[in-house]
This record gives sequence, C-alpha cells and structure tokens, in this order.
Amino acid sequence: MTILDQSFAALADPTRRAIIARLAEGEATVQDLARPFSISQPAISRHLKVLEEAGLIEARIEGTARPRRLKPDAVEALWDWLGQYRALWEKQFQRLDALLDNLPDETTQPHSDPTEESTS
Amino acid sequence: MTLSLDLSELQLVLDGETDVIVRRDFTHPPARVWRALTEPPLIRQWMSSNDSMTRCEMDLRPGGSFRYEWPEFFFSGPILEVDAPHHMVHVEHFNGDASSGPTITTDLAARGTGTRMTMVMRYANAEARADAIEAGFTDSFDEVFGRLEALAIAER
Repeated sequence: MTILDQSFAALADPTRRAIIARLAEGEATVQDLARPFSISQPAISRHLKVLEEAGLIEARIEGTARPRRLKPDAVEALWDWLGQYRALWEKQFQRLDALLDNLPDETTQPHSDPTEESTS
Repeated sequence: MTLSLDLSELQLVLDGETDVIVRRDFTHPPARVWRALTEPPLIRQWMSSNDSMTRCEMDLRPGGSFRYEWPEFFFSGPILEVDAPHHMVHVEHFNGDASSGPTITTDLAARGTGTRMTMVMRYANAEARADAIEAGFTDSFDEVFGRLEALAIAER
C-alpha cells in the first residue's frame, strides 16, 4: 500500500475527514477533537493513528499532552498542487467563458428543432 | 494558519472514495453552455491545452459515442444519457483503454440568468481515482491529495 493509497483510505471515513477539517483551523488535543463527536476518546485516538500513518497529521509533544496538527510541509505541497490542478480546469473554463460571450445568439438557428449535432 | 480557499468560481471536491466533482458557474444560460459542451466546432475552441485538437466527434444520443483527439493522445467512449440542455452521462476512456475511465455525469442548472455546471466523475474504485489523478496531473503529490479532499469538504 503506497502513501497515496493510505491517504485515500484514511479519508474515506467521514469522522477522519472532519478531524482533518478541524485541524486545518489549528492544532488540537485528543480531548478537543473528541468533543464534537459522539464517540469515545479511544475511538478518536484510533482515527488519529490512521491519519498519522497516512502521513496527514503529526503529534507534537508538550508535557503530557500530544496535540495533533496537519503536517506543515504537506500543507505547503497541497497549495502548490491544488493551484496547478485548479489552474488546469480554470484555464479551460475561461476559454469557455470567452467562447460563450462571443457565441451567436440561438435566434440564428431554428428554435424548436436544435441542430443535428445535439439531438440526432 | 488559514486554509480557506476561494472556490467561488470553481469548486473541486473529492467526494467519498470514487468521485471527483467539479462545479463551475457561467454567466450564460444552460442552452448556450450546452452547445459549447456538445457541438464539435465549439468544443474545439475551448477544450484544448497547448496543442489543438486533431479530431473532434460527438454523436450525442444514448448509445452514441464521442472521440476527442490531440496529437499525442485521445479520449473516447460511449454516450449513455442525453437530456438537452441539462443532463448528459458519458464514459471517458483514455487512449482507447476501455477497461478504465470514469463515468461522467454533467448537469447544467439555471441559476439566475446563468448556469451552474456540476460534473461528477465517478471512478470504479478509490485506486482508479488515485491512478487517474496521479497520471493526469502530477506524479509526486502523495500526501497532498488527501489534504485536498479534506479542504474541499471543509469548504462545502
């Protein structure tokens, strides 16, 4: 199982997605994370272990507490990658916007009978 | 650290294990967007990257098929459902590999005087989705992909 597969498996679970969303706001302890969910701290800890093994989060040691946070370098990489992925789509859609702006009106074609390409 | 994304124009969601959802608003009504998405002379004008398409065919009816070719690769596949100008479902194979490729459901909903387009790309399983995105966009984003999903979901 690659890291990639592990990430997918880790995020297939809605509770783990919610944990990631919470950590995107800042680090949190197991107690903090357990509060919004109607499940036990040990159950949360198991979810955290899965996320750690998938390389998505890490623990910081602070006295007896071990607050979890998103891994900063992965966040950095996310921004780069997300930017590229969105840019690909957005570039195409901006060309589509331009095309739509310049598309002759439908009145140039029969109204009740769309073009042969769109129905036949 | 703030991780909110401005996804007002283009929303990208990795949903569940198998789906990639792209949502985008256009300022023109569904009938016009539909034409741009389905008429080959129009498709050619916007669906290209660095290279122009070398072939663009669309037999838009249930049981029909499409084929978009560029110099180095092509997409093709069957058309499953058509309900102009709001809904279509097709399967997209890469380079003729009929054993893989997402089933894509495209819906155009009127939104004010414009259109909200929602495309759901559904892969056979989580691995197929990972492979497709990995092959299509980058080969080294390991941990990053999961983060995207989390953020996109947080955004909804």
